[in-house]
Amino acid sequence: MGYSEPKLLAMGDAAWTVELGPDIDIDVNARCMGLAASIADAVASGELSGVVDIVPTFRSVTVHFDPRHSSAPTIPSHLQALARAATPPTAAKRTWRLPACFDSRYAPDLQAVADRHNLSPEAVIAQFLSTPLRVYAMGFMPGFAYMASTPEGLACPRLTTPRTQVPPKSLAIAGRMAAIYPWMSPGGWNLIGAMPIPTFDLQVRASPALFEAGDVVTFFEIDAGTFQTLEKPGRDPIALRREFLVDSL
Amino acid sequence: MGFCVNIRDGGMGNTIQDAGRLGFRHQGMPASGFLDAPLAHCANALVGNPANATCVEMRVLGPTLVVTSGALRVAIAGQAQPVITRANSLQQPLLPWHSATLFEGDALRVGAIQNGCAYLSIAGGALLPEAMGSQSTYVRVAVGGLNGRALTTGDSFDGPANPVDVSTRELQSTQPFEWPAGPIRAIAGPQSDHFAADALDALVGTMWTTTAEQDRMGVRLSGQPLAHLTAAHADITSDGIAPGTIQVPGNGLPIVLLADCHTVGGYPKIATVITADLPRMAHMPPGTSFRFQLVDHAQAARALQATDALLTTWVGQLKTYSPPGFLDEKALYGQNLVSGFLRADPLG
Repeated sequence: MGYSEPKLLAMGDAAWTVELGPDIDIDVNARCMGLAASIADAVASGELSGVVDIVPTFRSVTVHFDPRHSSAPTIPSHLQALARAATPPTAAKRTWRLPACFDSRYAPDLQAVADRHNLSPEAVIAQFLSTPLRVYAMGFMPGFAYMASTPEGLACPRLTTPRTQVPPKSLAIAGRMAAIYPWMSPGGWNLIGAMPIPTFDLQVRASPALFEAGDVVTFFEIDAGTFQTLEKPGRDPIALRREFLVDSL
Repeated sequence: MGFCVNIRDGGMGNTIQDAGRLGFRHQGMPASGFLDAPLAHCANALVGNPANATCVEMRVLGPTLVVTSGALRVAIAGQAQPVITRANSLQQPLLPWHSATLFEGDALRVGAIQNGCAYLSIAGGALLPEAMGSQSTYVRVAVGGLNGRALTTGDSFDGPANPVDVSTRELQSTQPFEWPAGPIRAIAGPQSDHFAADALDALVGTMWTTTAEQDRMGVRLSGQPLAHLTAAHADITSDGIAPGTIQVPGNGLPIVLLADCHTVGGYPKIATVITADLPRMAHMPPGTSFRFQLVDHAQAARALQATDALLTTWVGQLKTYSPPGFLDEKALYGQNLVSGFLRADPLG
């Protein structure tokens, strides 16, 4: 459930965070996406100026602006009005159907997740594939999407000792969230597979990140050979993305 | 003509930066950009560049550059003692707050940066590709700058054709640009309600000290730990963060976020440093002690106006000067004093 009145939180003199609810909640998150879109519309129409970045997250939207801009003092009242009127977008912007490989070479934690829930690795994969996920927020690193919610029957804590190096493209779960690591990085999530399509690619100039908050994501299983074929460089990145985009409004 | 510069020594902690990479934070891409934009503006003004032209940001040990072709005009804003070695082996200091022109075969050794952050400007900038609308280097994912990393020995870059008319006079300032002293001002929030009732008083009352754990992403502070309301209040549902945000993880010790900070974070943020004072955080080498002061939005706006006025005044007092060996042909011929003679003495 969201707040009855949006909370406007000051983040210094160059950003406001508009918080719509106390916790992770699909309806609150959907209203955040609607609010981010209405703020972007207000910027495009010239009704709101000085805004430099609009960042929707799980339960809030952060708006970064130029504090030297003459309209900076009026931004909070604009945001409050837009937040009160915020409704979810009428439909998910985009739905992805992405390949995922669960071969043991990419899935060092799959057996442990299976053991924790007294399941076979095949049953873990089947449950994971059965559930569409939603991108609740982007962040942590460029292109990193926080996706939820994975089935309750697969819920698992983070590793007690995080890995110092998680290979890029790893598909990982923690709590009831899933994510794909765009880059080699430290990380404490459970690695259950890998996804071959780059989730951040500077060649796609308008949108280097594959995902946007609000996207719906489903996965289908591929074998290691298919993974390696899809991973090969040289494919046109925009065409490659389009291949796995099943619905776009 | 253009120029080509070779990095003879990459030094340490030197990156290409500009005003930053805005408009991509919803994709998880940090803003990056100058830690101290007004100081970069000073360096740029000294070579006739626009305020936000790309500079080399230097934090620990500046680079050594060699001009392999052409000529370029440079200036340094900040505390350093750079030395120019001319192609004929003569050495002369590059005075901080003065521009100088380097010709083919000349080398510039910047040396140690004394107070955390300095800028090397290059008239006309460098010919480097933009990534997501900016030349700023974000080292963590190898985006922007020179090959996405800090300046490295052996790197080279080109400058644009006709970056500056090197026969024009150099610019100098009679005084350094200096930040006023005093506490670092911050606005409470966005999560000051996640802390114990006296935590804001403690934030303001404590003498904080910067630690060695600092980079372009943030600065960890040491001091008396701040108390969260309860242990559970030390974590939040991750939400937006910004340069200047003062995050306080479970150990109670604040982290002031800087230009390369992530776009979202999961620690509560007790307060956020205002735009006017954030550049000063770049000048706090490990062991620097300071206090915070809480202000409201109106005070933050006045502080920013005061900063901008300080900068405008500083830029307004720049004067031309003639370096040793510079021949002002127009003036000399005009006075009919010489028939053409060039000296190139080392300075001092």
